[in-house]
Amino acid sequence: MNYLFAVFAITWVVYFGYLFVINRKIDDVKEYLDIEKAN
Amino acid sequence: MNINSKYYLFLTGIIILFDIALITLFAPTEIIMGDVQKILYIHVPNAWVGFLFFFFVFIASVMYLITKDIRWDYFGQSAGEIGVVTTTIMVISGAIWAKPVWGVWWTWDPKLTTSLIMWLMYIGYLMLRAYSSNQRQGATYASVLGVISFINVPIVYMASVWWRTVHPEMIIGPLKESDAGLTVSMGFILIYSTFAFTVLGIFLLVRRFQIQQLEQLSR
Repeated sequence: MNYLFAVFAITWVVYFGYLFVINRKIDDVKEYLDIEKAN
Repeated sequence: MNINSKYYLFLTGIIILFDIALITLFAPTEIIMGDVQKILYIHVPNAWVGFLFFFFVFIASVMYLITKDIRWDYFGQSAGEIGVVTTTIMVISGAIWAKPVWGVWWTWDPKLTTSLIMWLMYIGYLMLRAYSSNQRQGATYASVLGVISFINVPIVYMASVWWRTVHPEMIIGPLKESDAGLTVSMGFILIYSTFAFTVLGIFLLVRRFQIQQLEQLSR
């Protein structure tokens, strides 16, 4: 069971970590575009 | 995140939660391997999603080389990144499965070795673009590598047929070699899990592609 949970943990850390990075990147680019628009 | 992507994220989350419930609560425990066998429901779908996204890279690379439309390059880069993520999970979950079943984390078996080569080639594909100073030149070189790298994908898939290997036979798909004792419920959960990870992969692809489009606007 420990092996199965290790796989679950790694899978979701990788997927959610990647999703978190993508979302942060989208927010950063949007913020940059908003600043550009304001100027 | 707009309303549509929130809705899609919610839907993806429900599909994935149901998949986790199926694997942990409803999937029958295999007699010989026990719970370790359930790693199959993570390993195989991630391998499939990796193959699918590397196929997208191949299509995008060919289309970029023909049309020189930069959107194809963006699509290829997005698909390549997600393919590397899922292949990473495939390699790690395979190693964790191998330890209790084979007694070793890794062995230089044809299937494992070709999978590792595939993973490294697509990391190279992403690095080539990331470190290129000229966007168009980087896109062209990466597209050529995207086409060449795809040659290895069917080799990985067919490795257990072409060579003597310790890797289990293919138990799903058009070229399956045997059912390997897979019951109907196990087969259903494996197919559902493949569907769930495909939905998750496409969700990530849409989000990743959005970054490329926004970056294009900021240039």
